[in-house]
Amino acid sequence: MSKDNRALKNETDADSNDEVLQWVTFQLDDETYGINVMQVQEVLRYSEIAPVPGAPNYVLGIINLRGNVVTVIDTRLRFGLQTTEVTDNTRIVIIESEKQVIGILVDSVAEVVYLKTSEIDSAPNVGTDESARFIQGVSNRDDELLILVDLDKMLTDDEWDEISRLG
Amino acid sequence: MNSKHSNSEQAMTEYLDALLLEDEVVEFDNEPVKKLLEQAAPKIQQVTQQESVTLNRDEDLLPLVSVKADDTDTREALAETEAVVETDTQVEPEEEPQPDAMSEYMEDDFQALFFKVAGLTLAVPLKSLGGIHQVGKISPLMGKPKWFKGIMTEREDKLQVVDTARWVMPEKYTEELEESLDYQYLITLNDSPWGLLCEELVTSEPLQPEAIQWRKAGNNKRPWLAGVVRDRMCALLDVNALITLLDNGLGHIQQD
Repeated sequence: MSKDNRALKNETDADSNDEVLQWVTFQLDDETYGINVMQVQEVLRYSEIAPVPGAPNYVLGIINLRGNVVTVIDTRLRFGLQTTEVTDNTRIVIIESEKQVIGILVDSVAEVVYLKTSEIDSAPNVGTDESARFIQGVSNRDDELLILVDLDKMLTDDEWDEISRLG
Repeated sequence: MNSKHSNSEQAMTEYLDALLLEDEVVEFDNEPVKKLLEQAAPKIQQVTQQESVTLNRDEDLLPLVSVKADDTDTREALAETEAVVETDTQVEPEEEPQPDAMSEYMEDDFQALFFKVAGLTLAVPLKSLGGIHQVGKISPLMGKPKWFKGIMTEREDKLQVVDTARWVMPEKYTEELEESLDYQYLITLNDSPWGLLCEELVTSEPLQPEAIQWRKAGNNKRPWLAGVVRDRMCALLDVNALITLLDNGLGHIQQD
């Protein structure tokens, strides 16, 4: 293979590795978070969430989604943020993780953004707190930081098992 | 002087006491140090103010003493400061592969930037600075140590912001102190993404190696502390060591 061809092949390989992914962005406090669009089933306006007695504190309760019971997670609590009032912008994002379908309560849903893999950096590797594992990466978006969340890691295996028993 | 300021002053005095009275760091007896601190405190304050006034007239050093200026002046000054710092760090990179190696500073005079955090003055060699940025929006990340305030985006860069007061003196970091903090600038360290928040840029001035009480070679308790600048009674940072600690998520005191 000639030098030029090799260079062309490397360029093509680099391009093919730089996959474009779509992320649904949502707000919590003043921060913008992103979740992989492939995991989002739908976005609902806030509706009454029925509390479940004895449920862990990170579970807000359950909703009835067209006959299916979906557990809603207190995202703010999970992310270590203060609770806040429900507003007109509050949404329940229904997501399908590797484990099951759950809802996450967010302050608002913003948009769908396209990010190349090369535009995503890993988060600083400091801190041993459990919640550090939620962060899949970070990216600059219009001079704002977009924090990409790994939904599968939002709960531990035991916690996924626990909420599966609630539904 | 308001109560917030007195708390900061108190925190500074207590911190310097602890720093300077530590046998491994400084070879002073307790009593003389106490007297020295008592005598030096007002003088340091006075000297700093006098220097600020003098330096404000000095165009070359204006960028580093313009903290109290209005926004436009500050922005211009910061731009100039960044240019100065960048020029400093970029000049002759091949001849100086380790510009912040403390051993180098022990041999020759060097320029240092003095900045204030919670009443505490810290010094850092100018060559070890990556840049000085005005504090913008800082996005916190969950699960990180409390001293890691989050990420500040600056053009394409993602700067990792350290709450300097909390990192340097966590034992003095009260809610009151936290409320009183008014961080204005982020001083980035070398080529790393790490930046230290500071409230005030004091000045920059040349330092001679003999003006510094260098950390003893065997003292690994505070590897980030290169030494103490004697006449200003402030800590001189070892930037490389500091970056290593931050990269590893470690606090300011290491166990022996």
